[in-house]
Amino acid sequence: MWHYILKRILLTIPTFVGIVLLTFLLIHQAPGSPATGSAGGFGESGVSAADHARLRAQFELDAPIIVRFGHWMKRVVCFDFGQSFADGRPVSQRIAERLVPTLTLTFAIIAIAFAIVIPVATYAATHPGQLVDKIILAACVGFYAIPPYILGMILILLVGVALNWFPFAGLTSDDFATLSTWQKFKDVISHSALIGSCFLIPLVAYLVPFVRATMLSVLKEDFVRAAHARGLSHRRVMLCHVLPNTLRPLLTVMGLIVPAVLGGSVVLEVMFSWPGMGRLLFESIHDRDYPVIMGMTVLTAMIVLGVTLVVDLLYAWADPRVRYV
Amino acid sequence: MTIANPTNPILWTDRASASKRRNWLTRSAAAIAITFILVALLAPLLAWHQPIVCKYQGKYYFPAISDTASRLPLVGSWFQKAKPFRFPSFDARTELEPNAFALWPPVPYGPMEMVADANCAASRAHWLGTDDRGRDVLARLIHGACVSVRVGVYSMLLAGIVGIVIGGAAGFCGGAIDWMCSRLIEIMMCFPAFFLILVVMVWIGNGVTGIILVIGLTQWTSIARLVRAEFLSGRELDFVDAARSYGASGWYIALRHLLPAALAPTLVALTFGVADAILLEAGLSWLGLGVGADVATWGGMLRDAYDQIRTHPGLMTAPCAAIFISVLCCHILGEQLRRSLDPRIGFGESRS
Amino acid sequence: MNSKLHHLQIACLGLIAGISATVARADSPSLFAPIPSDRSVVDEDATLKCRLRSEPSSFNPILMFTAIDAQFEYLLWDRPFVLDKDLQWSINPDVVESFAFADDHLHASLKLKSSLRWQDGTPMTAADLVFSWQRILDDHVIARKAGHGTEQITQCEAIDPQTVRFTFKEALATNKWSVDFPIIPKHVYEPLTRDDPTMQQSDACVQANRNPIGSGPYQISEWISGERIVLSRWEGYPGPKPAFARIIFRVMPDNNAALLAFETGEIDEMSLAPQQFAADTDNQRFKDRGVKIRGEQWTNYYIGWNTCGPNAFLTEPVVRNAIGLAINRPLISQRVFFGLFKESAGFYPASLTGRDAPRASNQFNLTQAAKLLDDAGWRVSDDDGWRYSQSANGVEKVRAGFVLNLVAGSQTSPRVADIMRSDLRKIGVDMTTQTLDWSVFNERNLNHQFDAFLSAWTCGPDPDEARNLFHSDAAQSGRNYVGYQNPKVDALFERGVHETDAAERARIYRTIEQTILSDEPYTFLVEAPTLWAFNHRLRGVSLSPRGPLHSYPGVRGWWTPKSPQPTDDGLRTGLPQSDAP
Repeated sequence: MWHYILKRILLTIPTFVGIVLLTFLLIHQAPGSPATGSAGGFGESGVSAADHARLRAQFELDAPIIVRFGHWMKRVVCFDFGQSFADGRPVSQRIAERLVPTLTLTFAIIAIAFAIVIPVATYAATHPGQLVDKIILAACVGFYAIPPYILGMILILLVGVALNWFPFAGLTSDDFATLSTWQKFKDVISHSALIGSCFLIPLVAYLVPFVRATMLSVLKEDFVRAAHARGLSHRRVMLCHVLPNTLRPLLTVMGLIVPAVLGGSVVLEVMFSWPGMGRLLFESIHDRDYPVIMGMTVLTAMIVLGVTLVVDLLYAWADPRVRYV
Repeated sequence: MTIANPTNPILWTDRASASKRRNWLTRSAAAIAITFILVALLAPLLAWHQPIVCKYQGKYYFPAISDTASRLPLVGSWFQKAKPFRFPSFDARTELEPNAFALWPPVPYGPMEMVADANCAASRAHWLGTDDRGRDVLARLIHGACVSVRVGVYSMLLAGIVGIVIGGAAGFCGGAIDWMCSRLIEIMMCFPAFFLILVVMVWIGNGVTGIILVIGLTQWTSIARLVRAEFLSGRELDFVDAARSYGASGWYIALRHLLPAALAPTLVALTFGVADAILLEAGLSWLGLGVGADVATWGGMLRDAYDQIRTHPGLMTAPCAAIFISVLCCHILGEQLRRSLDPRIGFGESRS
Repeated sequence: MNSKLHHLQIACLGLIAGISATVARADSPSLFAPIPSDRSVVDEDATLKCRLRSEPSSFNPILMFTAIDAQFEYLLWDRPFVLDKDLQWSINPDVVESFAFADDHLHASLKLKSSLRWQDGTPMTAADLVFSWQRILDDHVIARKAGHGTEQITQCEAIDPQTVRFTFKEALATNKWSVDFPIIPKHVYEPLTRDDPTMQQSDACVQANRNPIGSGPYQISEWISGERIVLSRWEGYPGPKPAFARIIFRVMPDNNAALLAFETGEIDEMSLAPQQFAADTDNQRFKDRGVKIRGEQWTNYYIGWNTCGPNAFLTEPVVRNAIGLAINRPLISQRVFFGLFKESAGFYPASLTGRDAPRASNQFNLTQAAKLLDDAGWRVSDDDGWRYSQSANGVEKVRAGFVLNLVAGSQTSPRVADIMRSDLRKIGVDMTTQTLDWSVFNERNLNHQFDAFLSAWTCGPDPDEARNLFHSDAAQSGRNYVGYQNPKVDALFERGVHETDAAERARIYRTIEQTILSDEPYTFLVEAPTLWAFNHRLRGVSLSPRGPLHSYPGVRGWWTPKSPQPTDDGLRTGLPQSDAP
């Protein structure tokens, strides 16, 4: 087992280096540069050729790319991602302040999704072909096919404006600093409710049919029939035999979902003025803020590889058929 | 949020569910998909600024037909439109004599033509109304189908080829090549695809080709993984061993025995992928990085409509419905394909 | 010095102010009411909620350069000279004791008030001013906006703690703009610049730039990245006290979401897109919440043609004239800008040059455009109907066409391009578009690698600032991306900057404008107005040709009456009604 874990961890290293190297080369070779990326101002303050040259010098853009990569690598090894070109602050700080809300939202959404998906899917799987089952499936297909930005607009107009249940802009209220801890919690929740729903709805719509189908096939397995035959109560069979076997394939899906939600969505975050990772990446790419893009690439790669690793290990642990080779 | 997953069992109902209902659903999905493809292929015959057949100065011309022919893939360049109709300044509506014979397409407007006032309501002249630039919405919808179908089909073709080559190489050769290809797949999965999109758009320029390349080059990873897994398991099967013992070459085994087995799940994944590609194109247009202003696309229509969602929310419905229906069709067809191609799920499996 | 020009400008600007005020007054009688001297009616604990489209890059006034940065400039910093609501150069009486140019125009002396303080209590002196001037001229510092014209000052010396003496290279009409640069605290930045002369790389400098020790009436109290920036009033400010205790800038990138936030009272002001002004705000929910205001702005949308580039089609002035004639400006104004934008008559605001009526030759005329192209040798081919050049060596045929570069994410540019494309087709000119993200768009422009681009330009307060666009020197080092070179225009700019007689100066710039309009390196399309929405409770707003935020006193002069009152309550509460402070 330990041998297997070590091997899996070692395998991620070349991938990680590959991602970093490829991204670095691509963003530095791509057209546009931080010296031309910044937003324009009034007539007299656009980028002039003279300023452009000075900006290039400041951002060390004139050095050969291999030298720049060397410099960057040297710093990253010491966990220093450099300073953002856009506002001069450390990259780690800029990413951290966006990562916290995004991470919280991601895990909250996944938890809520599970809380919804499992009972709904179980009901559907135990009543196959009935009207409720059909309605659930049809709703899932429908919600999955709606582009998220349409969903976002509908929610803003309907729930945010017409019903005025939740705020639809930002993450915290203006007086956030003065609130008590409980109020702060409530404030963040209500601000994240709408954008969270936009992530949650397609996710649930995606997971319900999946879990339902898996459960249906588990229900037909011999060991379930055997359990029933042994005279175990229905509840006990569901909880101890069906559910664990249903959730196992879900692990693989989790490996795909976590990075997808964590990456954020530019469109939704812009629409909800929500300070998340997607918007940071979009803005950094827009400004060609190389250090931030690279920092986010490193982070995303670590998360994706980490999640894949954990899923693989969990799978190996949960499924005795997987050999530790 | 698009989760690229080839095994999306969105409609994976139990095997017990009535196959009659399934057939009905699949048939209508297939019918809609074929309609969309036909609309895309024959767009100028349905909506165009020039007639299908007309008599001009004593001779007969077929401008919309030759435009349709010249848009065909591969052979399109053989066709060229007849002279006066080829000219950009030639306006068939004013040049043709009013009582001369002319058969117009059902929607006699081009997708980029500003033919009426802005934001007209639906009427006899404009079945779905006009957009903020006075362009016919139905004409744009029809020509948007061209883009969506092309993006969906070609990008998935590209993704399929790249995925099969890389996944196949990994699964069949094993060893160092497998190791390299697997790392490449992982790298691509973690890569900020959004950035790649920006870069490719700048290098290639706006246009359908750019979008196809971008989607094709970012969406192949799941297919490669699938093919690799199929090849890996196929390699161990008895009939492959048998073939090897006959002295069959590696290429022969790969193409004759392993590839067909891998094609079925790939086809399923690609069908789902078409839906993702359509959604991706719309998302890119939303961010202003789509096909560009010179072509009508569903995503572009949606973006234009969003700018005036407050005053003309109805403009959202047409592109929204088009995207919704096409995505839905892809899912239904993909699911049916999976069921009929997967040997483990018997097609007519009896109720248990 | 140029007093005649001054008078002329004031006369014209008065007219503009009158126009904008009439538009406004019809909607809201009290929005423009200046802050009353009786402060008891003013709510001094109120919070103002503004909208930010994106985040500022720096609060250090020397490094500020975007329009977003500029929103904070007059709130955080005091400057000896300011742009008033008519964008006139004016002396800030709260900062300056006296200022005078010497008779030879080569010297000037400035006496600061002795009461000035930095926000940490340190007195603000002449030494700070000299230090700031040195920083701006420092080669390490990239002062994109603040550096404008500062190089004309050869010497800047502190005579006593309050007095500074400027010496200029030449006696130029623009010297008064050259002395208008920001002042940063020497005691804060001097130790920092020893380690980091660029003022923006070391952590200490970044911190100092984010939480500046300013001289204005507001301090940064909170900056939550991606969400909001909160300014709070500095109660120790020696000058006139502004009305709002707090100003919250909320970062809201999306226009539609911002308008909804305005209607729910989440923000008190926002600039409106033409679509929003013309159509989206006609509902009762908006009218209950606020008013929309339109005012003149010195901004023109234009197309820049690469006059020296690889596309032979665009190098001849007559071809550019023809394309200019083929652009249906009235339709663009109507369809894209809802009739809110006027067709451009030139690129200088009429008030700067005393321009006459718009040129008649500018009118949309496809027949004329086709004739011009025919005469220039670009004839319609019998084969495919596009135009080709018959000239050159007679072997190659060059097709008449170009690629128009657009910035990604713009709501209006694809719409303008659609209208242009359909008209140009009719005369056999093939126009395609290329949507580029901002960084690449700029890079292509800097390297002169483009056919044509669509952009907007806001004229500065002095006509000489256009030198940056049209002077041949600027083709290499400035913003003359189109590579326009005309010795006559170069010479005129030189004369203009040396001329001290205002009327003569106005005449020179008029000639420049005429020459450029006929050479047409840029085709000016429409003139964009300021379109803004304000909450009903706001008072004291003034519209400048750069919008309500970017002039002095700007937001400093805004206020709200103490008790919540109906909107048209100004008369009954006896608040002053005049628009002129």
